[in-house]
Amino acid sequence: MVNEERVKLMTRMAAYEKEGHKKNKKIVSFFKSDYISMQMLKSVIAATVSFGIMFGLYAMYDFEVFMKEIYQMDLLDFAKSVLILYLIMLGIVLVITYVVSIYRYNRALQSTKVYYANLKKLSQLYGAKE
Amino acid sequence: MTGLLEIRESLKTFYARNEIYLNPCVKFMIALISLIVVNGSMGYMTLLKNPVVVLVIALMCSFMPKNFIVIVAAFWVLLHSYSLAMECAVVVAAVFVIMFLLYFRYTPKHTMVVLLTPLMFAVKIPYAMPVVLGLLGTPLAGASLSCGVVVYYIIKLMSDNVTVFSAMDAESGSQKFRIMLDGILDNKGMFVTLIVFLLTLILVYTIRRMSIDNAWTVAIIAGLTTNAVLLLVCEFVLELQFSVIAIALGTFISFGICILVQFLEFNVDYTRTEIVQFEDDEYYYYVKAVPKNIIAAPEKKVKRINKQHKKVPAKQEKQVTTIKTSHGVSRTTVKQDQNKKNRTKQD
Repeated sequence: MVNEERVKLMTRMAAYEKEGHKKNKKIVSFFKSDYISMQMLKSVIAATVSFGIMFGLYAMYDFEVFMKEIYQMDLLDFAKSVLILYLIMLGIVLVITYVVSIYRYNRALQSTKVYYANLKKLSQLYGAKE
Repeated sequence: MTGLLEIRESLKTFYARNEIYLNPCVKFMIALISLIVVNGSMGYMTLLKNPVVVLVIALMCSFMPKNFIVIVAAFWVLLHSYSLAMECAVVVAAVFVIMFLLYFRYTPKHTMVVLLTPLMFAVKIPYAMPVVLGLLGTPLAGASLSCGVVVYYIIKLMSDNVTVFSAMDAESGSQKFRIMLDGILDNKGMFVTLIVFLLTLILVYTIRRMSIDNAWTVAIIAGLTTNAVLLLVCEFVLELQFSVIAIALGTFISFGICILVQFLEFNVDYTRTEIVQFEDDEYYYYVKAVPKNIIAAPEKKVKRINKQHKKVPAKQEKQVTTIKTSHGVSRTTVKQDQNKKNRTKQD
């Protein structure tokens, strides 16, 4: 005979499995600090590439003038101002990444805990029947 | 109202029953409309305008994840831009890559908003977007909305400057760069739209979450009014060449869309609101419970009016069937003829 409680539990678990169990399992497989570090590293790469593209566009905007000025300007000063801009952008991206990563890790951990608790409950329900 | 609720329940049941077929159909339609709109507003590469190519790609999108449509649409824009001028394609590619690296990595769920926003702009009802996102999402969706607005204005910039780009020769590459970048960075209309949309989204989200009666309706009206008023004020102050009639009409149609979304997503009966108060060991709870308007979907009952009642004696019926299966209709007629002959003999 159909056990209503078991069916409810299994439906809830199946919905969760379909929605994001795989992804959450992958997140939780890391330690929190490792997961955050990995995301930060990815963000550093993403921010660097994005800054490179932006700088490229800036240079291409007025390429001839830029090439003329580059021989006259103080390159160290120019590099310093570019570096400051890069660090500001990197800082913003890293702060956002840090907050998002912590939120995601905690959420994944919570969902996985609930999932395994349900799994245990289901196992108990089967055990009770036998 | 009851009729509408019944229709809603029927729609839900229909969707739940046919989800497996409806989802690919919806994806196909979104992909098809997106590609047609991009072809209509850009359309510089003749190969991409071929209906067969468009249909095949849209069909391919229907079996792929949702975000694949966004990638295809982005490539479509990129290829058209390349056909117009290589410099345009470089700027467009740079903007797309920056968007992908800095934003979509965090919220892949909202990627479709980037596709839907330019589509809504194309059908002149973009004002529905911030309100609907405020109703269904969170202020985080504002980033996707901003990306969608930027994509629309980049496409518009290219279509507005087709003649300029076509007239320039290949050597004036840096000039084309300058037109593109100036067009993006000095575009007052884009920034005004962006800020107004973000403000609308936040306002709608805030009002929608308030514990007031008819919060969703109030949020829709307040959001659309604020949106329209801010755009009109900016139009008069900054002379942005927004069409007043388009804003008014767009807002009116957007209101209809928002009400439809509200009806499908949030339909409650405020007349039966209950305010209860209870406590546990740690807290006092002041709870306002608003019941949902739910009506069971009407079940279809097929009533047969013309029921066939064959009152054939069992023996005779058996005879007829055996004759039919062995030799068909001709044998039965023979039997009838024999009966007639017998009658004539008796006479």
